[in-house]
Amino acid sequence: MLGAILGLGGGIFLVPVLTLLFDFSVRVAVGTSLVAVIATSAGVAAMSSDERGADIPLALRLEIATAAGAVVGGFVAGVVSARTLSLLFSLVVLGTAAYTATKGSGDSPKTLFDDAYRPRRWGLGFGVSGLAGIISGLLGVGGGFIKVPAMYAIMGVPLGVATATSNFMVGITAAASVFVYLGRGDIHPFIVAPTALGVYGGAVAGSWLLPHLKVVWLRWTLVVLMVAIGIQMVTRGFGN
Amino acid sequence: MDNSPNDMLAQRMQRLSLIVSLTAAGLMLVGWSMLLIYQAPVIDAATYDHPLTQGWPRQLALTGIVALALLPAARVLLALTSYALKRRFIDAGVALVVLVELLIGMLSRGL
Repeated sequence: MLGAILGLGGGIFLVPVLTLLFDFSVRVAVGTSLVAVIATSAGVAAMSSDERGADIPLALRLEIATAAGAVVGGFVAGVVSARTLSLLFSLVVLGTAAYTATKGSGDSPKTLFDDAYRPRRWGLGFGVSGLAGIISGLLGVGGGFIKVPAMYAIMGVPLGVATATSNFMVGITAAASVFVYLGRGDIHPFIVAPTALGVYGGAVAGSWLLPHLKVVWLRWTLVVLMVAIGIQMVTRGFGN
Repeated sequence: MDNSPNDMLAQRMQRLSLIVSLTAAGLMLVGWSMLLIYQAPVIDAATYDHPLTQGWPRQLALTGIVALALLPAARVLLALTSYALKRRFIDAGVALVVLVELLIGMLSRGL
């Protein structure tokens, strides 16, 4: 549900939960998370309407960089240690939280949905999207926690449109690397199935809830969650 | 970005997502339920090699997972054909590039 509301695939919550609470290996957690990210995207898409849908042309343009990065990240994950993955994850999450908290409100749109916007700073948007793709393939996340702040704070896209667009994108990004994990045997059906089913139901509910929420609540909820998760993963990384 | 020509595409994507995701969810639910009926532990490393986790319940759950994993590519393909039919060739070209990247990812190690 949180993933659908905040434009995240949910992997940023799932990977720490699967490794910290259930003690799965990072690679199994990442593989499971990628499928769950696709389930989140599917759940949101199944509930979307024209008024609160994704900016599909924007999504596809940014996805050129993201999908390429995800394929690269999926391969590189096979040679990177679990400790490195955990610490990298925490670094990215905390950095994104800091940016969203300090820069996210200046000239960013104040309403959730608005037809009059025009995306700007495309170069920076592409760069951040490529980075989100690499991180997605490495860490099993959809990259939404980077894409939403990037679209909202950098490219000037309304937050509601940014979250819906991100939900569209994260599914594609995860699909670019999930088959790499499937081929490596890191996806176990009886772990993935209940996770994906729960995530799908939550995404459907979250998609219904989104238009009733305020921009400032979403922004600060995103920041607080990212800080909490970043700290947890730092602790995990130094404990390995 | 001009979104008005995307309304019909958005509706088609919604229908496609609904059909595929519900089918995938159904397959996963049936496969996983069969395991629970036999009361085998689900979250257990030993379960991976248990006879009950092999065979058709596992294949059913895996089929659902693969179907779900193919949905994003189907949505991109839908966007590609929609833009091509509307003669929005730049948008169609962008969708084609994304689809090729997806196929590279799928074919390189898995599918």
